[in-house]
Amino acid sequence: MSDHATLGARVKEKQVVKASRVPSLTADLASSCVWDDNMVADSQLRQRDVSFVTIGGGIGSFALVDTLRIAGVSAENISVIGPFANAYESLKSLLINSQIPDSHRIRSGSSDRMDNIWGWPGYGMAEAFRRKNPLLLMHLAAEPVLCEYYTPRASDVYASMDREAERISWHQMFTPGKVPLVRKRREGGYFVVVVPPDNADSTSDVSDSKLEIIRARYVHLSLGAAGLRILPDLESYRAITGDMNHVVNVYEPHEHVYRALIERPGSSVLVRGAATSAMEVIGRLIHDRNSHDSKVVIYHLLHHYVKEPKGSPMWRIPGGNGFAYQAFTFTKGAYGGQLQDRWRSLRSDEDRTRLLGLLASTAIPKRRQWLRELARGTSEGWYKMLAGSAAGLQKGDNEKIVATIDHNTADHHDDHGSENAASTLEVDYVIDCTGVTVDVRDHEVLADLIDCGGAGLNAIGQLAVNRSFEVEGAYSGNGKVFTTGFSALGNPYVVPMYSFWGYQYCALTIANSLANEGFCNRINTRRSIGGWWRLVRNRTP
Amino acid sequence: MTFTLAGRIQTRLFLAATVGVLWTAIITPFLPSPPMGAIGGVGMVPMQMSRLMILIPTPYNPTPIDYQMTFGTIGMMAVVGVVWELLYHLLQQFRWDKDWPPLFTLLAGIPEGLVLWYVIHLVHVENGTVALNSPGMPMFAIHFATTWLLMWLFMVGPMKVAILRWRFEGGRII
Ligand SMILES: Cc1cc2nc3c(=O)[nH]c(=O)nc-3n(C[C@H](O)[C@H](O)[C@H](O)COP(=O)(O)OP(=O)(O)OC[C@H]3O[C@@H](n4cnc5c(N)ncnc54)[C@H](O)[C@@H]3O)c2cc1C
Repeated sequence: MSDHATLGARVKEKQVVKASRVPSLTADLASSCVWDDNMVADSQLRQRDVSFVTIGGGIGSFALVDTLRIAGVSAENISVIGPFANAYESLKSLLINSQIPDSHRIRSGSSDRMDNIWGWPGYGMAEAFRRKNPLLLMHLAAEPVLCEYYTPRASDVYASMDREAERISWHQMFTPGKVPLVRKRREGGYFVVVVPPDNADSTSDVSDSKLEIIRARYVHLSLGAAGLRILPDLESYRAITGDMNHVVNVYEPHEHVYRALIERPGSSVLVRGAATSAMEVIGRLIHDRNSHDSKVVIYHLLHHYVKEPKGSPMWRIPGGNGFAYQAFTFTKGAYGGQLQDRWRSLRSDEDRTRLLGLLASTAIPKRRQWLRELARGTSEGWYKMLAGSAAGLQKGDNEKIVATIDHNTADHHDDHGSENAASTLEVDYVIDCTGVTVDVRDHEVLADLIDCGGAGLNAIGQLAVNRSFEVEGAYSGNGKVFTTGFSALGNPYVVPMYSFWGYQYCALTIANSLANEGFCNRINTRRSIGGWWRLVRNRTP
Repeated sequence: MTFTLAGRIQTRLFLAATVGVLWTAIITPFLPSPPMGAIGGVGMVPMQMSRLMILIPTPYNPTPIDYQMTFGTIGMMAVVGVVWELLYHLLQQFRWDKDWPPLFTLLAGIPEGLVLWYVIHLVHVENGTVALNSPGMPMFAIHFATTWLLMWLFMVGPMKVAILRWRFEGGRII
């Protein structure tokens, strides 16, 4: 499964997060799932009112706040709570870990513009004008038929979000902190508990004055993937050997691996995974080979060796050289096209699981440069592709790692197909790029929302949402909790939940539903054109 | 572009009714109307030197027949287009990504233009010969090509601004 796509949720055993873990809550508050104004007043904690609170402060929060501001909600009525002042900060560190530094290009299209809900002019057009490069415009007109898809540089994404943040007064709405709890308010709406940053990690020693309670009618949660959950075999290797250095997940900081490979030329590394992040890692390794003479030997473990396009005529995924090819994380038609309609028409969880398997296939964009480099590596003997699945990691002699590979599960690669069911491989490092898992319960605030706030779960154990991304069961009087992104995966409405497109789609849907309640204006044609014109002139919405 | 079938058809009708109609109203007086008698139109090729010696087309007095021809063409482009969209939707099913690159839409103007030329004769929007060297051809070609290009340019850009939900809902407008 692809790195993002494996986000199949594992529902852990019910582990009730106790509110008493939150420092300085009175016993009264800690023990009740529904709070009222008097209880909170008695606690003498700092308190303020705001209509709309978004928790996370990342990409999902940014998309929604941007849309609401355009729909006419004033900055005073919105509060953003998160650890980082810049909405892209969390994404940026994951991108850097997975070898997409600022100067590299991310994996979404020109019109999936985080700073512009209209998507026009796209990142590509903006870059063409900035760099006075009309060829880029032709590229945009010809993609993906005559050339590969244009994708924006990470730095351009950040810079344009900085500009938009300024325009919508993001920093004025932003409060740094972590939210451990959201509790229902008896009179309707919610209480959001905010722990300021210096205390976010310590659960003791907090003076009462630091904790803040926000009373809000609407709450939005977009918390990203909680921490990193590395795969079981990595986990057990680390637990048994105590070695945290030689076996890493691509989303963890692992610069030390590249440094060590340069310092000890001729070392070997096993890269696991057949999706984009594996290719970015291999790209980095090849770069270090070329510029630092690292002489690294790369073993690349794929689940399946894809020899050629595969599937029925109507469902034939392009492929070759070991990989399946797809431009973006999800099949394009799932981003609002006919595959979205198809998704919505399905009624059973089995059908959805089957379709999701197709839409989120493990694949890489067909970048000619990557394939050229791999072909060169194969012929020069420093790149070896293996088909099979990882079946155990052990510590060998001389700091080596012994990886067992089970070939039974794999479609054999002509050159490397072995008769043996399993083989072992000795390498110096292992970089796993096969995925992370997400579990709503890893987020304390979501676990509490389930246990205390009545939030329901869907078939894959994520939060159950309705068509407007309201969390079902968590209603409180006229108040609503919305969630977008990872925690609403598996909903029957939208597939690419964790993509720029998906965040904007959800934001627009939520804004429309809030417009029906009179909280903001509907973005009709007049408001849309007017709002766009203000954006173009960089005026406040 | 990630079109659904309904989205394709709605987009086509919307573009024809907005960009198509507006552009046709603007450009008709500037089109090289075929000489009277040739196919029933009136007027001369309206090119004239301005005082500044810059070549600019000058509008002439278009006749109702000219408008009938140009608006009839746009109307037929929309009507026949619905059938074309069915074909495109079918072809889209053979694409893994189930999408429709903008280049396809742009290039579709060539076969569509040719078929449309025959169709407008069939329904008597245009009279005279269907041969490609017909005196009515320049007027049709300039009108159709510019309209198609403008509709395409509108679709890949301003359309997203005019109707925010359009690109999120498979090209549907309602
Ligand atoms: C390596 C990588 C590359 C990607 N590339 C693309 C791409 O090219 N195109 C694309 O469209 N999508 C891409 N995505 C997918 C997606 O767009 C991003 O993951 C996006 O950042 C997710 O947004 P989010 O709001 O869910 O989470 P984030 O942007 O991660 O923000 C969530 C924030 O919430 C904070 N938080 C968590 N719990 C709490 C709490 N209790 N209280 C307060 N704050 C909390 C977190 O610390 C984090 O800062 C990529 C994802 C990854 C991992």
